Amino acid sequence: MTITYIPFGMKSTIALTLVVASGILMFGLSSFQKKPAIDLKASMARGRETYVTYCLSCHMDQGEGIEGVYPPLAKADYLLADKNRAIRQVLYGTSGEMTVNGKKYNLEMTGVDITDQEVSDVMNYILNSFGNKGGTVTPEQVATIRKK
Amino acid sequence: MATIKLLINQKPFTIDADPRMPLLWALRDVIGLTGTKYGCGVSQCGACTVHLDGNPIRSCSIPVSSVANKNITTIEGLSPDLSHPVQQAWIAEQVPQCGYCQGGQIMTAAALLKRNPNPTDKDIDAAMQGNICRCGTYPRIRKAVKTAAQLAKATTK
Repeated sequence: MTITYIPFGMKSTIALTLVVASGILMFGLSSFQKKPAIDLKASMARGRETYVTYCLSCHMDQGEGIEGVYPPLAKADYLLADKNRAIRQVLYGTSGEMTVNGKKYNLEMTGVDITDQEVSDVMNYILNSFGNKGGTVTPEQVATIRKK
Repeated sequence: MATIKLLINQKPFTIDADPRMPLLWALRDVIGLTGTKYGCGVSQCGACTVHLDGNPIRSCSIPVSSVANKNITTIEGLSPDLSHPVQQAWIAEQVPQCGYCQGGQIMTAAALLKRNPNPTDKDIDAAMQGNICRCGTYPRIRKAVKTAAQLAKATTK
């Protein structure tokens, strides 16, 4: 058995190289396994179509709503405070009093029968239009909320 | 009861009504504009569609007080002489059958073309989906929206 003498400095260099290399490998693997980030622009374009079909006649073209009747989506504190609640409302509708940007609203909104993809698209459109910066929603997130 | 000032088809009206009265009843029963129809009463069929600042809204479920002094256009106010491209296209393509939903259909189509002068079939289906026609005139509606887009382009040229 031959014992090769590796000087201390060299040893640590090899160890460091190994750590860095495995780090790169793991990062490479994880980014390979991770789903590609959603194409927000394309999702928003599809979401606009869904918006025109189901949302526009109450929430209006620019998400401004009608004060006291249909709550706004544009820069709406209520909407931006809870994304999951908004997804549930798209799926199942909502009723009862709510306060949006300091004004009270109390009309019934019906849910819409659309796919997880369509819900995520319309959410991405609403959350990133009308001056909103509300992040993104994936179809998988919608699916988990639909099951609950 | 309250005194409410309305601006309908560019004309001012002052009415005495319950502030919660749906705009549709103010239009039909108080002002006498009966072109806008009552269908379902819950924003699901589109027969009562009118424009609020150019956007299509369901007049059956919006309180009249909330649109006071705002610019409302009904089917009667689309043009004074049936010359609006959507009206012309509806006549050319003979769209209506029983006709009950058509006022709402026309108002939604007019709003669509204002937003999108060159709609694809998909755009038309998306925008018109909230307007139900139980005679099933949908193929003619789609055709007429395209005809109206052409007519609108021809008149602006």
